[in-house]
Amino acid sequence: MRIRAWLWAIAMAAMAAFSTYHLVRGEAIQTDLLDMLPATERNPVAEQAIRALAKNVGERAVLLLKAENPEQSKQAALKLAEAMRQTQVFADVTATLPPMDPAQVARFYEPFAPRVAPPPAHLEPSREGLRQHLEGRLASPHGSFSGLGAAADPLGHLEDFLGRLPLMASNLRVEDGLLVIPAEDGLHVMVTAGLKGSAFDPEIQQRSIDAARQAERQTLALYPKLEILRTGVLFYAADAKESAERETNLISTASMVCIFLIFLVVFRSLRHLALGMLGVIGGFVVATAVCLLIYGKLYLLTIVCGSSVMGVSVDYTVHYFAVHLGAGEDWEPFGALKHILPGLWTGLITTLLGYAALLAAPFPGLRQIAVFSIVGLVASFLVVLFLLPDLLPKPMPPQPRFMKAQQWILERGLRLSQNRKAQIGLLVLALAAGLALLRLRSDDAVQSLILPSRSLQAQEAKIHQLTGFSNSGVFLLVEGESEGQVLTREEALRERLGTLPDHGYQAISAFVPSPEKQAAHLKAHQALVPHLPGAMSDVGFRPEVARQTLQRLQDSSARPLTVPAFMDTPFSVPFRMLWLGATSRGMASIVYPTGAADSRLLEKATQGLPGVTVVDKTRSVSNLMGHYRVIASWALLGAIVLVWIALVFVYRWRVGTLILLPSLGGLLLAAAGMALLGVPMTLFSTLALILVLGYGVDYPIFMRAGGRQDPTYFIGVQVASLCTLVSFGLLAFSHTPALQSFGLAVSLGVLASTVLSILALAPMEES
Amino acid sequence: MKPAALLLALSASFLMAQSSVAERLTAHLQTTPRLHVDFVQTRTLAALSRPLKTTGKLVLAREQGVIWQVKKPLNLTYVMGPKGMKEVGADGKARLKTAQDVPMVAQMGRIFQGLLQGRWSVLEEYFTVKGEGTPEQWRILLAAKPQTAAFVKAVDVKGGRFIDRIVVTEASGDTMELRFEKPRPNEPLSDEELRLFRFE
Repeated sequence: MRIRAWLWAIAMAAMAAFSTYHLVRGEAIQTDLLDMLPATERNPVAEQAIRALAKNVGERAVLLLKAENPEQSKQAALKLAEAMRQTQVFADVTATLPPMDPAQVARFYEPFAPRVAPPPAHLEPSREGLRQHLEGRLASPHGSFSGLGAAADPLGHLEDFLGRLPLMASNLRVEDGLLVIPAEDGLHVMVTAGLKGSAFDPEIQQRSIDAARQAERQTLALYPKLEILRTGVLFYAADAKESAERETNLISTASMVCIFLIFLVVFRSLRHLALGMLGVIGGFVVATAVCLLIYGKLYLLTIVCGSSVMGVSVDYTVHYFAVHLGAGEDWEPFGALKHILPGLWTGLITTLLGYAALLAAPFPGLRQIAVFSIVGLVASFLVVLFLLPDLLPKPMPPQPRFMKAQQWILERGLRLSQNRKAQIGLLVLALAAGLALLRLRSDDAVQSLILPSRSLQAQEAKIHQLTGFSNSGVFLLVEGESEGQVLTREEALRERLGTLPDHGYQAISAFVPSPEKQAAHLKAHQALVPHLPGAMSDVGFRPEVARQTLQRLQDSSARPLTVPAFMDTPFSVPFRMLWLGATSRGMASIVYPTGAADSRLLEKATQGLPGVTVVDKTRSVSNLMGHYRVIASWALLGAIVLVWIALVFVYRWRVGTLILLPSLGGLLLAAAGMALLGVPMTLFSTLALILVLGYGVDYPIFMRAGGRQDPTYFIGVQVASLCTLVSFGLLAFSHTPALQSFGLAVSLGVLASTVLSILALAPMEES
Repeated sequence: MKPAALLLALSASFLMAQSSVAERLTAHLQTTPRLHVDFVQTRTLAALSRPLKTTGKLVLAREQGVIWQVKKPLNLTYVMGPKGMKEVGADGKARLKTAQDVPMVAQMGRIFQGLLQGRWSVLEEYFTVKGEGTPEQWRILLAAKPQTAAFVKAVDVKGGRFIDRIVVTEASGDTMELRFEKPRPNEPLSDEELRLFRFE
């Protein structure tokens, strides 16, 4: 063997070891979808907010338990929490709330009472008006239950303010220290767990999901009728990873088996099979290693999509083998390579051009797929270039019957292409396909990138229904120059939101009124000062109580309520994530809808409000995908023109155009097939069409190189297209919608362009 | 089983049964569809130099809720229904607090209606309930559970065929006594009362 063959073999072995090591340790896979998507927001603070929220929501797992009766539900929740705690995998597991003093909220707000709420709106600022109001408060049926006492809050405005605080989702209640949700089907008890890091960290994800499942099993053993609802990034990410692994295994195994069978039928030799696999696996291993070196991690989509590139990378080996098959006793390994190299180069470059179009897309995820595919294809090509001639020194036993059969098929194809009726039939078919294009739809929803887990979606929907809290990913970003301006803008925003149908919103300004509002409230209270002592004494309040009330008013005038003071309280914990604090452009906060929010409606409602941005990552990404789908469609048109010009330059007018026709037919059939099947066009299927152009041009080039006398190239074309068809066809069975349409488009296109390239042979030879 | 453990188990089952004892004693309260009754409320507060006495009328309707009408020393009406609370001042203007706007109002309403209609099981979320006596002369004692203790200490309810007296002891030690007089179970709801029960 030559030195470069040895060098390439050693390099591949090293990369194989490197990729295997990383893949087996499970650290190489990135399940964070957000990471795969491009930055969409023009506002850098919005991106910052998206990441902060994702981190906050991403590190908690939420479980709701319901057993046969409320008592058992509670016991099961305690048991599950204990079992999860024992695994020592979670940072914290919460079932029972820490004993919280319910009066602490009232105690915190008491010194700020005149600032947080105005005196009752209908109160007349006179001695008589005040007296009536004070008496009314004392006479009210629930005055005895306020906990504040008449001395601390004679006007009752603090009690009203506290009563309106959105401290807890209205459906949640505390029973025996547990967070429970009474529902028609029984009592649900909530258990939450914090992870020790990001749910996307492979090691943390694996350990946490294993621990959660183990704890669930232990609890289910004690309470067999237990129903468990789960939500949280942990469950979604683990599920997506597992299904992607299942799919990758299935698709790669199935395409391996198919390629195996094709090789066995055509070449009837284990050596060819082994060498074919070497080309495929070499490509995969080198691509994995290079991507790991560049990116550190592989996206799930890359791995699933990459397993289909194998079907293409086998092409170069196949063409070389076909020559081997046809050469008979005259086999000369290096001469044969030299003979087919021009065709291989053309094929490689046209295909790489197709993938290079993916590189131009601004999606980190797509770019990685492109890099993976390009590197894989080049590596497989190098296997042919450097290794195969050395490993196939001997001629192949001749297979005259197989060659004769191929010759027969080729001639039938040639005859068919010259048949008038067949020509007319083809024309009609093309017209019909053209008509079918009218039904082509498009769909740019980013959800197509996600393997949907029906079960988890149903569980989340149920949890949403029970708790009234949902994670729609839509929120409002409020920015300002200072804390006060942010709060003022939040208040203006909340006023607008109040006009929308009944959705709740969490906002810091519900807990800390803006400085303007605080000043206004204080002023309104101060206006009562001249009448207050008299009115209080009329009702029977002791003089010292009236004095205390005035004193409090005076004290609070010098002591504004600020966000940091609120953030220091223990009850602010669930709301701290809403305050982003200082950013590169000032201060910012998040106003978060607790229900399912429609970003279009929100945009309309908040029009013209300064400093307010509606953030809907899902919609922004979908819009961007649509934008690039349109660009990709124009790129496809441009590519067709460019390829045509290149072909005409090399092969002249007539042949150049004929070489292009089969791939155009492939594009037409792919698009028409999608239209008829009701599969919408996506960015992915548009990119698939660009690949079809790249593959489709190869077939007539090879067909023409062989001509009608030599079926060797014809065999190469058949095997190559069959392998492509198999691997992309299998991709069409993926559960990820994006991959589905990608696989479908490529396989339909390749099928049509292969058949058409046989039909195009005769007219090409005529000229 | 050791005697101590047996005792514990017995007393546990005894405690468990308490609210059902209470429910049994006052079952007739829940079956009364409607009740008009006069009340005298006396609030004895440390902040007041003299107890504050108010009188008025209470309307209890099983379906619609409660009307609390203060007549002396001022005119003031509170209506508690499933949707929230309404306050009608001397000027006749109504102010609405829906359960959605003010989560606390929903809880208050539940507690108050539970007290007046003898729905002790509802109150168990907030209190430990103990009942004694006979259906003709009963007494229910409610002791605040820890999560309620910051708002109220205890409630003592006495009655016979109808509810007679409620004493609420607040967390601060202040008390509120409600005495009920002239129960009229057969009086129909007046037009005005029907209008008050309507929540728009």
